[in-house]
Amino acid sequence: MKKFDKSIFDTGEIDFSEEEIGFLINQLSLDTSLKDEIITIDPKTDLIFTSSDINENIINKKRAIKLEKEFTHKLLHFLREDEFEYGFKNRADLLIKEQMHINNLATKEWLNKLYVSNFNNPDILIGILRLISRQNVDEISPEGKTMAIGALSHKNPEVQECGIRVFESWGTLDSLKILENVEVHSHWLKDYLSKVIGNIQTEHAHFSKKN
Amino acid sequence: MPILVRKINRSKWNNAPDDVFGLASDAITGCLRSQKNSLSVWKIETEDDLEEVVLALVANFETLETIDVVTLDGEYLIRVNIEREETEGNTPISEVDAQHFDLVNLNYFKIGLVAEHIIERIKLNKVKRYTKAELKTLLKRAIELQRIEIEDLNESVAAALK
Repeated sequence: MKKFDKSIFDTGEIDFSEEEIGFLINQLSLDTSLKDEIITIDPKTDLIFTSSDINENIINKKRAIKLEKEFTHKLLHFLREDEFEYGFKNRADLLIKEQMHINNLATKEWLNKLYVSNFNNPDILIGILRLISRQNVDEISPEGKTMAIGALSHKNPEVQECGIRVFESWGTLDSLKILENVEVHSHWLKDYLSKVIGNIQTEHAHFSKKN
Repeated sequence: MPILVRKINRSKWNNAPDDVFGLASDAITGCLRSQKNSLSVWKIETEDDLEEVVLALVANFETLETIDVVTLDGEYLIRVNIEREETEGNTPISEVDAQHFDLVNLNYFKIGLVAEHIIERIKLNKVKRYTKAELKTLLKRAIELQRIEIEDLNESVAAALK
């Protein structure tokens, strides 16, 4: 058993105010998955954690709350307002790069939540898909793959295109399995899908020969 | 016949209607975003030269991604009074830099004419998509031919070639 010490909230790059710590504790208390491990003692000594594993959950939760509270508005603003051009990075890329570096588990979960809650908003979906296509596939998985798969069945062709672009960017064998089972309707999108499938097949055939 | 090349995002023109007035505004704001009332284009003599311009474009990229380019009819644009000025490009492919132009003095009406022309060109299949794999091939060939050094490329683009 470990006595909760507010100093654990100073790990990493985050400094919470008293008010934020209160908010965090409330959030954690609502999380049933943590209920067994959290014990309230008195107003000054808030919680007891039963194992060090819980600290990892706390770190991720704390980061998730930080992302939701402080970065959601910023990211949505960047996605809506910044100009985007294929081949070039913008402020949203820099924000995600920084957050993935700090805590990629919390960041991809946050992106996934944003993605799901904006599934009726193609502009935001497209923006998030562009961001995940620029991440390392192993680091952004599994949430990134799930988001890209979701995009392939969206009714908006530009969202579908971005889903294909994500798998094209990663170029993995499992990307191939997914793309081979996608149906698109626009003529130009069909051409693109078929080219991407061909390119990934060629690349992997070439790689197999080399090895 | 001089051909002008402009990078666009094909998906923004997905449902390009017959009438330019029905065109989604994202196509204008996304693909025809002017600066100082000018739009950047590249001039080529025949479509066989298209890859040269694409190579110059991609050699400047920060991240290697599939792109679309549309070829415009230079004579048509002159006929409809769209002026152009030679403004040297700034790419690692220096021999292509002289082919860079700006469409200048654009206004609401003229940008509409450019948009209308792009719709026509898409209908004529004059838009070409270069996939990431094709761009890799172009860059690798340019490196082999010592037209560019891998060090000239952005780190992320260079990494994608390995």
